[in-house]
Amino acid sequence: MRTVAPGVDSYAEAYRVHRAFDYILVFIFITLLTGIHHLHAMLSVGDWTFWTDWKDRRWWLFVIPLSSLVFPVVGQYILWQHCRVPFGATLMVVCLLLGQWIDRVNNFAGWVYYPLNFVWPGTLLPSAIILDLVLMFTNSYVLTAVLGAWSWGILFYPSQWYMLGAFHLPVDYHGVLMSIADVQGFEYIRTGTPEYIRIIEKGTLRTFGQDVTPVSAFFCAFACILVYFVFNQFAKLVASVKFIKGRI
Amino acid sequence: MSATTQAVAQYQADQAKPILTSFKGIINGAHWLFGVAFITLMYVAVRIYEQVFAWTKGLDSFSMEFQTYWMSLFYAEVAVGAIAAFGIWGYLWKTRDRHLDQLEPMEEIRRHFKLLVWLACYTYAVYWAARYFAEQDGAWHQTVIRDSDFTPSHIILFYLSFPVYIILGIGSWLYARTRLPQFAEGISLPHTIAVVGPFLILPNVGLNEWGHTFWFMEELFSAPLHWGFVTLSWTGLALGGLMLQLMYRLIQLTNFEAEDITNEPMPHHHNMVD
Amino acid sequence: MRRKITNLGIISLILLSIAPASLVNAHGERSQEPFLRMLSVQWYDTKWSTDKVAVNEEVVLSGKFHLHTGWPEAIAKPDVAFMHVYVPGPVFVRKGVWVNGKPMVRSASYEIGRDYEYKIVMKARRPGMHHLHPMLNVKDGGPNAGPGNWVEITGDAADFTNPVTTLTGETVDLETWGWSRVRNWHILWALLGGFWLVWWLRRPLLAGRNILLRQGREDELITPMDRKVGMGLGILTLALIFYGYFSTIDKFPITVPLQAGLMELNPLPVDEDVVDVELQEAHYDIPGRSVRMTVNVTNGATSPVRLGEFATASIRWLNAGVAPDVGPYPQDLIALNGLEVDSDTPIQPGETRTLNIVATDAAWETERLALLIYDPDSRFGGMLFFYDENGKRHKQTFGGPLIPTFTAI
Repeated sequence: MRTVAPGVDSYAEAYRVHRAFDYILVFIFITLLTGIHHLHAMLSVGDWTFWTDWKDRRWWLFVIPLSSLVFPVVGQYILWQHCRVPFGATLMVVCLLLGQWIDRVNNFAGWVYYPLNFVWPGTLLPSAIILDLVLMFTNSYVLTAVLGAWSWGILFYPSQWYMLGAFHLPVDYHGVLMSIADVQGFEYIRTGTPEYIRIIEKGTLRTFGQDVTPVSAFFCAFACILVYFVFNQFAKLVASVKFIKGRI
Repeated sequence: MSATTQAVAQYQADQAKPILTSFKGIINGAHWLFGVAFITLMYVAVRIYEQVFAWTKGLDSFSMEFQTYWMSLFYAEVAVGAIAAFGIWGYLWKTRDRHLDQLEPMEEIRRHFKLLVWLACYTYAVYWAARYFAEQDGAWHQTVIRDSDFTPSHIILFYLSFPVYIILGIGSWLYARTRLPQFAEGISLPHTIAVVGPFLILPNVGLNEWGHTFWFMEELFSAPLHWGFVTLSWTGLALGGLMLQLMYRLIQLTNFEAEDITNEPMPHHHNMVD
Repeated sequence: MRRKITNLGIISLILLSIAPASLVNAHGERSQEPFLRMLSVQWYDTKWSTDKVAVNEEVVLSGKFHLHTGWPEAIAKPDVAFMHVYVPGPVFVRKGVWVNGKPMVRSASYEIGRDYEYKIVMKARRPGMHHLHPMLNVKDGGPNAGPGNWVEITGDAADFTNPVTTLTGETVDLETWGWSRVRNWHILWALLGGFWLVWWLRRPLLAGRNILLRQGREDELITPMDRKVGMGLGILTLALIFYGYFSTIDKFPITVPLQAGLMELNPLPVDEDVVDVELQEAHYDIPGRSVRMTVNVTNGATSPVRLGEFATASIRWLNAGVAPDVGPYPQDLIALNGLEVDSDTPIQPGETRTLNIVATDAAWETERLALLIYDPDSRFGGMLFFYDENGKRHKQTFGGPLIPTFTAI
């Protein structure tokens, strides 16, 4: 039995309403997510995304995938659970990158004049595509958490090296060994951000120096699984369709 | 052919139709365009103002020029913001629909799209605040010494771009509450989260300034001091829940079949959530 | 290319970049509470090699600072501190910093009560008038800027280049190095990600799919074609990641990790030949904008000395006739006749004398040191410079409580 009187009388009209809904929602979600996903990333791990001399082997490749997974998990839940649309993670990451790039170009380069090769963000799109595909093929959040989120974390570093490698060439800088990224950080003055603010690897406690990257990536991938589980639950709250009876 | 099969067939046939014609007449494009254009023009003007006066008049908060060019702007923002907020919210409440029980279904669909235009303006304002001006704030404070709570980037970010989205967010909530039957009968949990959470970002500025005054003169973006903003940004995701509420209602309102083809519950999903 | 991209972005937001940073007004270093500024880093002998340079030319900023023994409790000790420079962002690039002769590219540990000598080489990058200060940033304590002077940069920003030679033998321009790889990689992934979004957006997205889902027709929502495309996209994604990683290792086989850690630093030797100063009392005359101090001075040096200068928070009060020519120094930070001493005859070696000193200048007000009366710790401090007849300088820091006087004297 139908409980609500209809407001249309043909399939064509129903279709138009549904498609109009789709399109305005695309606008709403791109603007919203570009805003809040960017805010989230910037204030949780922003410094690592801003500067090449923060993109290190210990913290950068750990905190960026971890923090950036929060929104994709929620996006996947809402779109897959209710509509079986398998691009939640990709959408979130595209919005994040859109926000980051407009800002780097206009503010970091256009307002305070840093060269763009110093202030570029990493990209999680390779990881996001894999995460979405895992959900689409498995149709299971558990498997997506274990396989997809793990891949999300482990694939981050190799998918950045194409960009980052050039900034790790060694330089003899007045008798001190530095990478090009370090030199950028030293020469292009961040007045409000002195060197000791940098949170980067300062060495290991044992002779694992050569294996820092895989160890960090491996741990990050594990932590990403946990983040996936936790924020999959959080997604239930924000995807609630509840109306509360009563007054405010 | 059952009704459901027909619906599916029609859907598939309709996919071939040009998209633009299916837009027409459902969304009030003029309102949407006006809102987006207004916000865009305002912020482009603000950005030009920053470009001209931030470096030249905005570095020393103890100078007369700073008072003239920046603090005056701040006072104007607070005054205009307060007037706009109470004007818009008051208007929405004053003109509320007192006969929602008699609302025609077609009109309800139309109002859903009006609400969506409100939300589109809201999220567009959030986009400018959370993305553009927030990261710009980072660029600024990592470049100059913070010598006041009212730096040129704070005056724009906290006291202009935040109030603008708050006015629109609460406006959208009041619109739904006063003009849509479902929202008048019960309080939408996701809509409330998606409006109240981002609103709380403004009071959270208090924590930010307190911390920067006593602990942290320099700029570390990922400092725990900023995590209040991070957590509150998650609440914006509740617009996903609101989207679902609107979607389910629109499906009901566009179903003209004798039986409710959408009465079936969601299929069981073999996952850890349900 | 960098500039081209920048310009595109700016045009995209309708001529947002219409005004270059042509004239910068002032600084912001006056924001810190007076007692913090007067009791932490005492800057002296600050020199700017020139006040006008063309793009690509260098300015040398040099001088010394003393870390005051009255270091306030409110700021962390300089166990980790960075020898920094205060300019509005990268209008200059910093080509080298030396502290006590050692290259100081990272933070180091500094000792309270000791002196340090620095040299900072700055290369002009963006035209305009820029204020250039030395600055010491203390971890958990914040920035402490020294005196600032205007330096004008002339020429065209587009001419700026910043070559650096790597240990692998390449000379690269830091303005553009690596940018094309970053840009191309981002564009590539944006295309792939965009493709995946459009693949689904072209079909009914939300309500339509939800209806089918609830009708139990889930199978129709992900078609075999979708699966094929997804499989292809997944394989392509993994292949590109591997290609990107291994081709870069091939291209740059020798790389080093980011460098971190404290640098080693020793303070300058302690002066042997000292003139001791002990503060007896000090009053700040608010209407007269002057500080009256009574100090006991003991001349431990081998020749008679006279008081030539009192300096604090980068402001200098001079006893005309005793202090030598100060050279170029910011006019608003100097009071050429601002220092009065009641007993201005030379203090003999071994003699202890009580001096009443008055330091008067509007700078107490304009540099906001007068706001000391609002501070939670009403102490002040500074340095006194004594000179013998040959011009030899003896410096001594001192400090203590300061009592405000609210009525005209």
